[in-house]
Amino acid sequence: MDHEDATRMQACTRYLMGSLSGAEAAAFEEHFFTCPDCAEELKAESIFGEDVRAVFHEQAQRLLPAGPAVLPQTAPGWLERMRMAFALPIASAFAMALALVSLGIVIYQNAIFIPGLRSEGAELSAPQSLPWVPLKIARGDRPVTILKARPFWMAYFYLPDKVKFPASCNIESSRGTKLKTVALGAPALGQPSSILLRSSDFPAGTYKFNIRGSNSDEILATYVLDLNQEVK
Amino acid sequence: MSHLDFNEEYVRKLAEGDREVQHHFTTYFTPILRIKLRSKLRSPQLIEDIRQETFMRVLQAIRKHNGVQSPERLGAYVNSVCHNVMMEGIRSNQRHRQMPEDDPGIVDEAADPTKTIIDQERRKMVASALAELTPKDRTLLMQLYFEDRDKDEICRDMDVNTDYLRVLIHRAKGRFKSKLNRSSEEKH
Repeated sequence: MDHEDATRMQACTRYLMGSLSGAEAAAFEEHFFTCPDCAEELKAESIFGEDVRAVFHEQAQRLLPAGPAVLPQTAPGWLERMRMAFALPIASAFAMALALVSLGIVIYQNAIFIPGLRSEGAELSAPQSLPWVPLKIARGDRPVTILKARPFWMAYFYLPDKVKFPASCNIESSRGTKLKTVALGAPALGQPSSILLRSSDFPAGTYKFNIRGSNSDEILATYVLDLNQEVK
Repeated sequence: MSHLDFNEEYVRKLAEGDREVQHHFTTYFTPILRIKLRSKLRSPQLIEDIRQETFMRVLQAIRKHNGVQSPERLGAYVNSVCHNVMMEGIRSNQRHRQMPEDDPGIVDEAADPTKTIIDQERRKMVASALAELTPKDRTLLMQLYFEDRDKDEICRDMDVNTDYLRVLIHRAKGRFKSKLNRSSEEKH
């Protein structure tokens, strides 16, 4: 490649653009290393490219924000300083209290609640006799007495014929507070309905057992029980 | 820089370690070596290593053989050595030997405050030349030079051919040159 060839084919521009073939590029390299004119033009065009790049870079920089957004800084007031000063101790104290409560729950569960459940389960699974307490619609003045040592007692009753199953039994205190609701299924023919109750849930007092049908709020029967517990 | 003829005297002075000729040698060949290497390599470190190794080998060869057979072909010889070093560098991709202590070394162009001012003035003219282009042409150049996108991809996206891109660069460069000339005339 001579100088005329290089000029005619705009070799400088094409070389910098990477538009020459491998052979053309090699021939042009051979030429511009020995041709001061082409070497100068190549340098000038290369510098022009760098300048164009720098100009676009500067323009892009001007379009960008000067720096990261910074919120205006003001000196913290006394309240803020107090808050900052106590934030860590309060958080630590809260964490400590939470840990203690959690520990207490775990201790309670392991020492009292779970052994209690195990005891009740064992008592329930063991053969035993239960105090049976008949519920009557018209009860006399004498209260029914159950032993406090017995964990459970059984209330049983014969429902009037008008009660259709499934029914429900709402147990209320004498003040009208609802204590429990028990679903009642149809008993075996000729047998009473029965409800197993925990002794500890029924301290001495008067209780109402209101029987309702499944599709109505109407009370179909009410049994009143005066319960007394003896410690023996 | 002014051009010195690559003749027997030039090569002899280069071999003898004449500082002025050595400075000319490195200053003249550094940009074209970089241009050549940049067209083939991406790593700036590798480019600088190859450039230094090329200078070192050329100088050693000239000193050892007391010149080259065809002094007027010194440029071709530099190109040939550079090619060989580049191929070795690509193969080994390892660091090259350091320059000897008596080597003229790398000229730190950025440290020259005069050059920085000249660069800034020149870039103002380039910015002015770019401002005269149509938005489409500016976008083309921006994608080519600033975003370093593949030229074929740019041409496809902008619906132009590579000849148009070449002419565009040539036109922009022409505007820049005319501004440069006008500026020189005003100063004189």
